[in-house]
Amino acid sequence: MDKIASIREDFIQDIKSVNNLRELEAIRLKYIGSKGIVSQLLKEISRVPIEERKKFGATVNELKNFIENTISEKKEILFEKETDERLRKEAIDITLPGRRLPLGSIHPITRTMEEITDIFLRLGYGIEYGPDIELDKYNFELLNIPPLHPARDMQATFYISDELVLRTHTSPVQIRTMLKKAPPIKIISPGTVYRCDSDATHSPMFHQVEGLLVDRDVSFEDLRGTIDLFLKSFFGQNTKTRFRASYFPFTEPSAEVDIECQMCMGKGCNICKNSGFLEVMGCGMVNPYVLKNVNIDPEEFTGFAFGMGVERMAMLKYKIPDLRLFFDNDLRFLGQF
Amino acid sequence: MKISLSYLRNFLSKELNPTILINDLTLRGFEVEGVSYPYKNIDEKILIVEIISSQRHPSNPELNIVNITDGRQDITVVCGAKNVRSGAKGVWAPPGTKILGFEIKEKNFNGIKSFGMLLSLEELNLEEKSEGIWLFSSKKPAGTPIIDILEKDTAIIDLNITPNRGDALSYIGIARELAAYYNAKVIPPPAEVLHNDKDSPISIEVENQIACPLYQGTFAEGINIKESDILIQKVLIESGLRPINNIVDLSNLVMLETGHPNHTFDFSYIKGGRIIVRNARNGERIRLLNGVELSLTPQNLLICDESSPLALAGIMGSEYGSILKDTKYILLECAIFDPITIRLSTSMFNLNSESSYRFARGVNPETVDYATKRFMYLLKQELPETTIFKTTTIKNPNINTKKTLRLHYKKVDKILGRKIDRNFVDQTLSNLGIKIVMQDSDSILLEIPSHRYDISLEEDIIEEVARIYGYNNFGFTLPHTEIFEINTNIRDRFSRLILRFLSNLGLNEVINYSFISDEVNALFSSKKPIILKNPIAQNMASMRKSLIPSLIHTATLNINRQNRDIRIFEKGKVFFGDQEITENEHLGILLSGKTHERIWANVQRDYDFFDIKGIIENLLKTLNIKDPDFTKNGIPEFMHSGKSAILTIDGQTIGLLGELHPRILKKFDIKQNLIIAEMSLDAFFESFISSPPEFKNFSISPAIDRDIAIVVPKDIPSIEMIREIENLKSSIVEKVSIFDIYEGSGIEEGKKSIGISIRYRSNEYTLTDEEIEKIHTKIVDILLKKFYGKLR
Repeated sequence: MDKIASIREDFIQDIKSVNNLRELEAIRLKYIGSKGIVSQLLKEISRVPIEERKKFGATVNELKNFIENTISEKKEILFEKETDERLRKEAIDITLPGRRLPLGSIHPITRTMEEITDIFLRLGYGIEYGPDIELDKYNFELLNIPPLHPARDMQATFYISDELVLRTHTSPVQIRTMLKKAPPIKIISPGTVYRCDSDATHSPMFHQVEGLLVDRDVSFEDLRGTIDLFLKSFFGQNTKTRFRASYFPFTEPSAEVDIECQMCMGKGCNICKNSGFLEVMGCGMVNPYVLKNVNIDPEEFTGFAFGMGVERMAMLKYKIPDLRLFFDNDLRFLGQF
Repeated sequence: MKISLSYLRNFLSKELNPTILINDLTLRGFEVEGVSYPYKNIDEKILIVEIISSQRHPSNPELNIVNITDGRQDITVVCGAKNVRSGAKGVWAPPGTKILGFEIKEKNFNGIKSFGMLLSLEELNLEEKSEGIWLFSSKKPAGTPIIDILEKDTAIIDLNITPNRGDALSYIGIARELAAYYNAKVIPPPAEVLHNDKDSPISIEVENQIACPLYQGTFAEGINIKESDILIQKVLIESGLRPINNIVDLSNLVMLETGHPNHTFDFSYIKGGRIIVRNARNGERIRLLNGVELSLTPQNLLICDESSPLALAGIMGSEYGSILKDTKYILLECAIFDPITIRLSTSMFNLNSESSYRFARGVNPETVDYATKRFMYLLKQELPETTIFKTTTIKNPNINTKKTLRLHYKKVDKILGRKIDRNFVDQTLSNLGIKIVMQDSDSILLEIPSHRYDISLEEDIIEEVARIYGYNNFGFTLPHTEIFEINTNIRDRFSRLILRFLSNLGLNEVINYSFISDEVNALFSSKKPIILKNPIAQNMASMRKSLIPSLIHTATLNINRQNRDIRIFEKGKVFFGDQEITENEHLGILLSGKTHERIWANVQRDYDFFDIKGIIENLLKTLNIKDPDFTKNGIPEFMHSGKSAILTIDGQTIGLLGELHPRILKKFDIKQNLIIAEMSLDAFFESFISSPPEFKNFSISPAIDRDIAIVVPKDIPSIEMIREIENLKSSIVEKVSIFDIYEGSGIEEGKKSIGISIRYRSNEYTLTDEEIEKIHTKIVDILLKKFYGKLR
């Protein structure tokens, strides 16, 4: 029994000096390995008198458990300690940049066009497309702009031949749609358009989204509601809109729509030429001549149409100062969107 | 159009607040594009002076020594202007005055002291470029400060008049519009004339009464050409016109006031005393006041004497017959010309004038007489010694200026979306000069005033009501339209899929112009190009047949700005054709420079063929387009013959990819390799919509990978080896991939080593080694035999 007690003492001494897992494993083998001191002790049970065997066995087992538990506890402590050590050594400079893949982008014109389109898709409008090279008939005549009409001056036109032009607006898509389908018609037509103008504020090619709704009992208030809803969704719920009387040959009444200048909040600044407002869209009730031209009875149906320049919307929304940036395609510009 | 608010005041019975007026005009369709105060900075020390005498400088013939008086003393100034005339009045800036930021100083010109300076309109910042000093006549005495006449707070508004509102291109027109807003009255300026009873010495013949339905000619004698009164010149300057002489200025003033373009001829040049309004003869020539000589056709209308053209009718006078310094007799023309005739000529010669601008938009035939009388009234005021003869009028009896329209109150409410009070409708129309001729319970019959060319439909009247009601006083509602099909949006979804796929791969979308130079266009396609008749510039004349030149353009711009690592794509249309025009949507990709940013963690390498091929393979997979083929048949000249491929699907060529030919790089002066691809999105779209993804079951049994390394002749396409394996159609071969390609040391010249990995898997059970060994050995045998191979 004394032997057991002295083994216990030895173990306590031994384990005190253990500093790492390797030494701990040596201690484990020394005491409770298959050839260890405690294992040897158990083999000696045959030499213990029978009446003491039970007690001896229990004491040795108790010692074995004590050793096992102590080693296990020590093991936990040493693992924590050693892992801490290792992790400290593995530390990296996390301020170095990450392994980045090249970052792509969608052109701000496309992005803006999608934003506009998405609002109208949610309102249940369909999308229609048309050709860039368009018949004069669809681009002008059926829209109530006969040859030599003064309104042709409003849209400087690129000609391919006497009958063919580069479309100056996406309105011919409205004509094509109305020729193809009976009302109700509820569409938008996004696309590329061209005008024979080139300076700091005019690009010979730009983009438009136009919309058309023709049905029974469509009114000017419906147009106002639609435009107001759209502009609030696009520019933000606090956007203030203003309608001004205007003239387009294909609508009557016609209006231009301004939003309150977002730079100066309507106070007047350089951007809005001190007017406090920025022009963003044109719109109006479809002119009955146009409806007649596409065989829709204007007594039965009315409609509204609207249109906007995508570049202008993008410039206002993203504070892009110069139209030419869109077509330079400098990667440092594109990368911002 | 520029309108002087101080002059406009004379035309209205009420005083108007400029801020309110500007806002109301803008909201009601007359957008005020700007407000300016031209006299704001004019120095108070600048005085009106009278020119007493002028003589040439003794030692410098370019200069005049001019004696002037400011009413108190005689002053000498030296002046280079050619138009100095004794007796005229001008504007003098004494030393110490600031003109355009410079201080006027006493100056010595070769011994002659010049005290101050006579000013031009340009020096007063009232016109862009002046020839000579500003001269005028005036009842105001010399010594009057000029700002007593040019009042500092004079405001000029710049109005954008839409093409439908030709009636508003005048002071009376704008006054009429404002009078309707504020329930005011228009005060037309006085026009009574005491006619001489003498018959006019001029006979007028109008050959084409369709093109010229009304012609009025008035003869006056005793004309003395000089500068007009400063008060007349002031109106012209404020309205953006340049003063010329008293007769031309009156003509312009009457046009500004009444909206009636008119023209004065020097009667002494009119041969035979006859005015003939006729169409031009083919090839007939006219030399216009602006110095341009035109060769005419019968579509052009002329005002002629017996032998020669005096004016291109309604557009511009000729040099011959125009008012000169010594003109003594004039003929005033006030007429109506058909808008289409005018526009035919202006568009034929690309020639526009204040006159043609108004005629093209419609001029009121009912007030021609008033315009004539107003001119003569003013003439008599300016030159009391003139004698005015009886006016001759030739009028087409068939012109009808009376127009009636019926308006239904219900239609007003229906189109505008709310109930508009009937009294408001009636009052508004009456304020606008639209007379109610008859009224019943639900409609009114209206007589449209002759100046409102733009009103021809009930909707036009409704717009007038809405305009005055105020667009912003209407509510916001949404239409109740129900919609059923949304199927065209697939193309939108398709486009967005491609955009997202490519941008998520790290590519930047670009957008370029659809037109390029014809020379560059020809490099990338032999199809017939579409050429613009009126391009902005020659390098923007040809509709692009390919996206490649656009991508090269963007690459060049970026390389020049040191953005050398380029990965871009463009989704856009290409155009070609002859009789039939074709528009196709294409996708172009360009890769150049390094694949990765040069940062510590990246291994950099140049883009090559396989980068772009991988993008395309994955794109096709994304769009669920199956079985693309890459071949070397038909590679165009502008591509690298060895590092390019043609993309075909079901035998149909739908794109190409690879390196650009060095010759092209040299031509565009580009010093780095460009890897490009161009594909037809229309072809992709067809496949996309015809084959949506369809689920295929997959096995969960374990897979076994086995590799083969085999040495074969270098020119054997790897795809053939893969196909050979696939052709066995073994149910347990799941996937074949090439994991290694090696040439060089250890491999015989002209050969390459290919490492092929095969993944075996059964759909139902776990494969045994024997099963795999059997098929694997077979594959190895076939590859060795078929491709003259050796195991490595």
